[in-house]
Amino acid sequence: MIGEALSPERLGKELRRALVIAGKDVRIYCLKPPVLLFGLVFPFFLFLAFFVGKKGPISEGIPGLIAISIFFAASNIAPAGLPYERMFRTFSRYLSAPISLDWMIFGKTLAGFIFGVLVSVIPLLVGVIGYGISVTSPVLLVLALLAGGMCFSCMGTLVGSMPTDAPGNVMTVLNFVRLPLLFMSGIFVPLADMPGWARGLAAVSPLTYANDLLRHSMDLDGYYPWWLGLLVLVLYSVVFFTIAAWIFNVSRRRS
Amino acid sequence: MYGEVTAVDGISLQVEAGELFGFLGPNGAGKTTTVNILTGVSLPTAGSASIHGHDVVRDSFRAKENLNVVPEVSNAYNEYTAWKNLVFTGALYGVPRKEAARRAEELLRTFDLYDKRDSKVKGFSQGMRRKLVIAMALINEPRVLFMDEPTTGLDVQSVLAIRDMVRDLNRMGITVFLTTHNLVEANVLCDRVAIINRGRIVATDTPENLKRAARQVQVVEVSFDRMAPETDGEVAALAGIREASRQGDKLRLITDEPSRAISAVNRFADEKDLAITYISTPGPSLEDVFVELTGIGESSEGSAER
Repeated sequence: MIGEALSPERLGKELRRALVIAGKDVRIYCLKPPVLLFGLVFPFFLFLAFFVGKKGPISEGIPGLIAISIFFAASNIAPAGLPYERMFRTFSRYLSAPISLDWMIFGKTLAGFIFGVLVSVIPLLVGVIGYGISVTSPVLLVLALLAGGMCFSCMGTLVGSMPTDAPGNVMTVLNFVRLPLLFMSGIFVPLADMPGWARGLAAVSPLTYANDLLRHSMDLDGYYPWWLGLLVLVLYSVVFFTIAAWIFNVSRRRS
Repeated sequence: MYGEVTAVDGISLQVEAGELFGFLGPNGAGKTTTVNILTGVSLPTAGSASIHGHDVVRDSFRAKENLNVVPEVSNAYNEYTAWKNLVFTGALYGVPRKEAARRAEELLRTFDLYDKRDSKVKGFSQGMRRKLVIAMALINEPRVLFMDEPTTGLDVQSVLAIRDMVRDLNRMGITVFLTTHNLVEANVLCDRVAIINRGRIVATDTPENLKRAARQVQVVEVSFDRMAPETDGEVAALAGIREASRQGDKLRLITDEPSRAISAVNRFADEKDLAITYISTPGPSLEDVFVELTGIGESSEGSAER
């Protein structure tokens, strides 16, 4: 059966069905109030609160704005959707459909990824059109958006794997995780200006690397080599997804 | 296992292709756990099951390509229209887009929902939701259809319409695995039934064979021109009567000796100056068999025992 699970025909079917789930989730959940609030409105207010009136050009903060937007948007979809799906029993539809649990979770993750990348276009346009930001490496920009979107979406899926049907509980945990990661990242205080212990904390937050990678793509000073940021984001994605898949599988076994 | 509780234990049953199979049991007996295992929603801790030759755990992808489910809760997507729900379900089961659109239109017409195809499900009545969920379960033309309490909470008209649909689907060759605690429904629909209680199968047979097998259960139905509240207890105390329960304007008497019970009822009517307006020996119903096998209902309201 394992050989069959890896056959091109089977993989094609699983991928198509994961895309179907992702498309449905983007359509349904991106308009939910918590998703709109935390995915679109919150990052802009944070940006205004921290960068307006600050010394130095405001364009310095644009990579941070993009990183925060993708961070909040991509990580929002799974935690906003999964508890509702459990509450209305639509989650069991996936379990009885011909798609494996891991691919179903991938579809859910893909929805956050798509939403996060789409949302990031807004602050990017604000930066390019409003503040004259120049993208010196479009390839790095795309890699930063893709890797950041996938990493943060996987993080959202991990939080959404909590076996609960109460959306409020999941959003509370999500913000309990996101806000510290946001403030310990090098977005509001540049990494180079941080004391050693704070820089050590910043190195734990995946948001640090997304912001750093975006700075590289816009000819602003980055702290880490670009490839390291990319590698860390990919590794975090794998770790978050693997743990989330494990929790989903354990929950199913116990149900 | 559910936590530390064994929800179903050592059950064994085989459903033939094309059969309309009823799975009966009281609440908490293990019906939903069994269906969840068969449909891939839950994983068993031990044992095996297969659907059209595909193991539901080791080859679940293939097994699930052959089935679809009508769950107890009508779980269509509220934010989607009827049309989008059908097309999405079709895509999830790998039905090509054009074919899914053709089937969606056909199903919406069959289930009398075509005029509502562009309406969001959140505005649907319970009956409309139920019909839509059944339509969604048919979009992949499953060989096996699991239906969990398909008529619960519906008005009489919808119940009758859905029972007709179930019969029609079965006539079309779909194997139907019907989970229900509605014994009337099981009696009128199913070719065979299995009764599960406390996680174990206690009987599997046709409804008529089960009724015949329940020899100890003999029933006499009687109605008097005056039915006082104390009549139930007084009749239950008569010789040869095990139990009497009020069913509308009749008393349903469980007895081991019907002729002795009828004589006792006649004497009781003479003594109390009551006229017997109706008396019948209908034989045990599936409900009687169910009560006998599961032991439930023995202390239920409205019944009096010796």
